[in-house]
Amino acid sequence: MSPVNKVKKKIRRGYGAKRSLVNTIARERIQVLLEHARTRAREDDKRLARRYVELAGKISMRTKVRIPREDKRFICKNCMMPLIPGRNARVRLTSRKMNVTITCLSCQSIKRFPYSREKKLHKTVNPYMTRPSAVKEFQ
Amino acid sequence: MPIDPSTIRAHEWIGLRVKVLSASDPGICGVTGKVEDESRNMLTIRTDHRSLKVAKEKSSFLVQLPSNQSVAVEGETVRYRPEDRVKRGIGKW
Repeated sequence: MSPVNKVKKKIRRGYGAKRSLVNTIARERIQVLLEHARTRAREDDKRLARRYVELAGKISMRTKVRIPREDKRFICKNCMMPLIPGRNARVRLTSRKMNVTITCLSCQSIKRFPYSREKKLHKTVNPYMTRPSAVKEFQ
Repeated sequence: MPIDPSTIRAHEWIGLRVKVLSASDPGICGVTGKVEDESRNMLTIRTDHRSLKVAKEKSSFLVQLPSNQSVAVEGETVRYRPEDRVKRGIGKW
């Protein structure tokens, strides 16, 4: 028997269960904090709105839980404000560059999300014709 | 999993109603309000008139959960950074 095998392997008992509990709590805390941040931003309390977004980001980093994509798109990366369209953000479609442009109205920084892939998909596949029931209805 | 007495030490306190049961400063014992901010050592509580900072150390709080249940929590057991509390607050596994 080689000496390597003699060394007892450290077993992390219950690691998976703890991990899943941490994940659920972290996800909930992020949701709660972003919700509070949005209400603060509506009340024009920028300091606390930013603080809550910052805390949500810290929890996400520490526990390796992602902030959901739909929430992340409406957080300003530059000034950490939660973006509310019509209030402190401007959302526009740019047809030439094929992207959604979100402008933060408190720091004027811009986020762009391309939609060229979706448009290409829409051109090649006709969603109504590929659905079997729709084809039947058509016939 | 919603906030319950077993997970309150790991969960979010911001926005919850809190009553200070005991504190090293006798002037703020019995103060109630909503938690506005949290740091490693302090809780910022928003009362009707002002926001005041209460040290977590040597104090205890009565936290009202969203289910209207109240839990008494020793400040010493939550004396971590808010982002550290997720892992440390659920205790040893």
